[in-house]
Amino acid sequence: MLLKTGRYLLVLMATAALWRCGSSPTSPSGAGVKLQGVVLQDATASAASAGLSPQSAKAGKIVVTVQENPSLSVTVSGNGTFEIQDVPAGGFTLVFSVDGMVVGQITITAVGEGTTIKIVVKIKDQEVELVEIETDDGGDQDSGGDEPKSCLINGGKVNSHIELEGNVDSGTSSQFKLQVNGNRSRGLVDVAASGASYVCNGKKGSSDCKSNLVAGAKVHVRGNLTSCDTLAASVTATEVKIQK
Amino acid sequence: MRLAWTLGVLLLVADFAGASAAVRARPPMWPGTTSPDLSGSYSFLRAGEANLHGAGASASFHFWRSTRLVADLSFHTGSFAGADLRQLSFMGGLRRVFREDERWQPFGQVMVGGARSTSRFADVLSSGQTRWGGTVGIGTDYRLSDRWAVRGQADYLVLHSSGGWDGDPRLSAGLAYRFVR
Repeated sequence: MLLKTGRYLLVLMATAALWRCGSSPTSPSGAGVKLQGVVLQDATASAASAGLSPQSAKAGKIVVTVQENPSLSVTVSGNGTFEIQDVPAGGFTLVFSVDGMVVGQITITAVGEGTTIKIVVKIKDQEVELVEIETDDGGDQDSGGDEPKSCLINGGKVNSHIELEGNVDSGTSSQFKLQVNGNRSRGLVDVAASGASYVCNGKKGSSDCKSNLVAGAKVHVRGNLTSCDTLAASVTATEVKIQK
Repeated sequence: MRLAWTLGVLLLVADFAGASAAVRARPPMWPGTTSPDLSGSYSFLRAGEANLHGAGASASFHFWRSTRLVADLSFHTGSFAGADLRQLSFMGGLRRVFREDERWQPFGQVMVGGARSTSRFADVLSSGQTRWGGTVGIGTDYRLSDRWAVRGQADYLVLHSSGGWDGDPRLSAGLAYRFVR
């Protein structure tokens, strides 16, 4: 009898344990800013990853802290996800540390109350790089409804780092138009690549890599989003990787 | 984490001598308690901060008394903050079935194994990590016939990576088939 009661008690406790101890700092659900993020550790470019050994659990314990309020600090989970609630509106700086050592920081500005910010970050070689940022106003309080996107590229922020994958529509190695994969962009993106370094997969070091940039070529562009509105977007590339 | 493991062990060892001895004295209402079974299920996994959906499959074989050997495989996908996430879990362990002669057959199980997590952004960047650990879980079969049962299950995955321990709950519901001879 005692064992039976004990067993049901255990079952009850196990069920309770399933309401997992959340890792994010909890906060009263208010109109604060919510930050959701994914950290890609030692990420590899997908097209090239087939031949590479699958990354690593080399990076250690990654902690993200809000510089303006260090009590807002979370440990990134094993699959790279993290969430922080009640981040200060207006702007804040995220400090990333690996095994207690600060490896970089990202500053996010112009954030309204009630916004959800989604970021994708890459940590490689002890450096932090913002890959993608997207804001979701929620469309409930301040904006008064669905607000049209202000940038042709989903999540694109002017003067921020950006990475795009797609096919060359037209142009030359110094200036071309890019058809971005998927639904990420609602139109062609202008890429200024005269100052960019060129890498051709399988032909690293090839002197005439640039000549492979032809219409239809599959490329990965890394650079800075210099301008963006609902009709046009321009990127100044720092690296163009021709994948095919 | 220690609590989760302790619970799992207790679920397995409790009641070896007591109530189930009396139950075993009666002829089983459902045959095939020593037969292998196979199950397939829809599965939900809370992985880190992400909600992932997927499917699971498991097989179990009679081992000793009401204890069975279990092999479990599950695959979940979803997205979070603009990244696509996948997780493949592979586990093996022991399951203790508590009332094998009843229509409702609750069970507890403990497994060890690993999970391979992959994060991918816009088909441009990807990273992955394999973590090791185990699960503790409870569930129940509701026998529809000698061979078929509806199964509901809740597990708690405890996985270790370079960043420490993660605890991720997993819920599944599906069908189980018993190979009754």
